[in-house]
Amino acid sequence: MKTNPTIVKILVSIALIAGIAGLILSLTPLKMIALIPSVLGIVFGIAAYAIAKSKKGKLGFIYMVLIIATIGMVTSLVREFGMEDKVAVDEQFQETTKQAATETEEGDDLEDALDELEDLE
Amino acid sequence: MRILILVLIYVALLGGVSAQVPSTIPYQNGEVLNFKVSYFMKSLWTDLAGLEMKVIDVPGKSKPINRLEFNASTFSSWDSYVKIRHSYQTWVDEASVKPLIMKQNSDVKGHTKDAKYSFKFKSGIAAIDVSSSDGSPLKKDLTIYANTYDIVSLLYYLRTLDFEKLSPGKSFPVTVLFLERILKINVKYLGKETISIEKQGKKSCYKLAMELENNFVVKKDANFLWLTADSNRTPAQITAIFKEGQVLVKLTEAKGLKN
Repeated sequence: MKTNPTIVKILVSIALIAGIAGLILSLTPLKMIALIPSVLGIVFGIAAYAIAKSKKGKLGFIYMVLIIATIGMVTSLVREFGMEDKVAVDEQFQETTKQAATETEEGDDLEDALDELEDLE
Repeated sequence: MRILILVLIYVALLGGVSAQVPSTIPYQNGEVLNFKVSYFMKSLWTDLAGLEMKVIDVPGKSKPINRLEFNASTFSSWDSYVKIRHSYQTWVDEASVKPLIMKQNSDVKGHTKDAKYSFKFKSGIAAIDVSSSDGSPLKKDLTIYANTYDIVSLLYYLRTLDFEKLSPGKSFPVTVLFLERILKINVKYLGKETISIEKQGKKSCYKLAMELENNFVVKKDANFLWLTADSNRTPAQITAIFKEGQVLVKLTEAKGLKN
């Protein structure tokens, strides 16, 4: 096998950076945005593969980059469509709001406010 | 992220719809609506938070009162980066949906705010009482009008209107007390539109435009509300444009509906 031409090295470098960025982002809440670098990684990786293959260059590293970019893309899609986002139970905040409600309903504020509506219409 | 929006001068031309007294109340005690809040970032929608709205009867008062709850929280995957909690609780007169008291509790990345609005319609004022973790307390009175609502009671009030009696293009003014300011909003009925609702498929909805006088938290003329065109008039979708980007709120679950 011959060494890869410069253009292949450039394409693989871009694909690698994009693929890693996509993989990292796919594990964060920005999982849909991770699709952008992941797809770019795959596109550049395929371009690098096509040129390297035609020039009988080395393909091993290109395969690895394509795998990384694909894992990033699949992770994004699985997390987006296969897993449901949930709100965590925040007991402390719930207690705050419950207290606010109890104060209002046990006091005289509501009756005073109802008096303000008397004979309005 | 700031969530959800929402104050006036009376011009006639209501087109047959009374903006004063609701015709029917399309919701009941125990109704729970869940929504998903998404942000449009970098050409893609990103889910950010959950929103829950509830109706609860308040017993033991001289007139029937509902407590309308509006609770918004970032999804757990976001909490490590930007944890946001907002709770708005509004007590309304059940028959007229007029707000009596509104309480806000908010926690945005550790910064807390507690606010109370007391609506005194006979006196024409709302007493504002605000305290926050990083500001001085605020107490003041604001002038209100017979058709002044807060953001939660406004949404439920709009649900009581009979849109079948309105022709597309008809509008009416309301005022909303939000973030310690009175906002003038022109609500315009745009007609029916079919949209897709999670777990319900495609449904016909009444589409409303909420036009503010000026940009305030949201762009003044890019806020829309869809209510299902049935006897529940459930809020199905809301869109708004904030300074940071576009927000989409979509109904994901509805329980305890009246009809």
